[in-house]
Amino acid sequence: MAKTEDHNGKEIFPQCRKISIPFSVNVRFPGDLDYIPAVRKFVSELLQVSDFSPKFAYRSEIIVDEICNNAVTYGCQTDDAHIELLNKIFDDRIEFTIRDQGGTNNNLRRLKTAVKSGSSGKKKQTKPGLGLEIVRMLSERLDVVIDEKNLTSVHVVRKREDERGDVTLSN
Amino acid sequence: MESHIELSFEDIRGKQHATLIHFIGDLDATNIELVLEKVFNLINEGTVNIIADFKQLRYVNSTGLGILLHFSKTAREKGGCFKIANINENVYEIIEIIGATTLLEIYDDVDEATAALT
Repeated sequence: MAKTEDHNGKEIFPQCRKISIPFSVNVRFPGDLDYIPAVRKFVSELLQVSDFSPKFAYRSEIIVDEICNNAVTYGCQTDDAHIELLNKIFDDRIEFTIRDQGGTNNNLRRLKTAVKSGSSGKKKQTKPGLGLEIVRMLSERLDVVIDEKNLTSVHVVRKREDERGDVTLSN
Repeated sequence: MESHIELSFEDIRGKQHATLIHFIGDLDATNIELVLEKVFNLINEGTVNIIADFKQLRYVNSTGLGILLHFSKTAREKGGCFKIANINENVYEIIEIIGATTLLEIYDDVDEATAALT
């Protein structure tokens, strides 16, 4: 069952009382960087009321921020473009899926290069590559799929840490 | 809505062209322009020795880290330095992940960073 109080004892998400883990929360927001702080903070709070540690929530906040920044910067070409973030919360992990509305060929080329250089361990990072490298290090799994319509979907799996709050940084 | 960030400036006694900047809040893509403008105004006015106090900086993402590296490079090019003090473990972890701990001058506290100013 999700917690309904934050660390100060203040009641948050009273509607969560009847929600049992696992559960999913889908967030859809305009393709504008200004929306991302609210989205990442929402995910952080969602995790903390779901009994994940503040450290886990902070690292997840970074993951959401970096992936959403890439999605807005490289995957939103029109004023009405939007981003979809699906959060699946399990006892032992969280899974994020971020979908954008399709980027330009140039942007997709940059993203593909970043994905390739990151998985091959090359040191030099492009702008999207830096964010992806952080996500890769903070998660157990990162998959980037670009379909035939140039829509990008990023799937991230992050497992719960042990009691000390440590996490193994993936290579 | 952009993330909240506040910068407050303080002269460092006994050191020329030196300023201590307190960063308060979150540094990310939504507020880097504001931070860039304030810090570059300072550098352009001749302050090339900067100590950034991160005691109350809760959060930095890759975009924010990018401008910290930019400040460091610019200050060095002008014969000065950009030192960071009081960094919290979450922010340090992100700097470590991108391999920038050797590129940035990081100190435990402001006194230590001040003592290292030439």
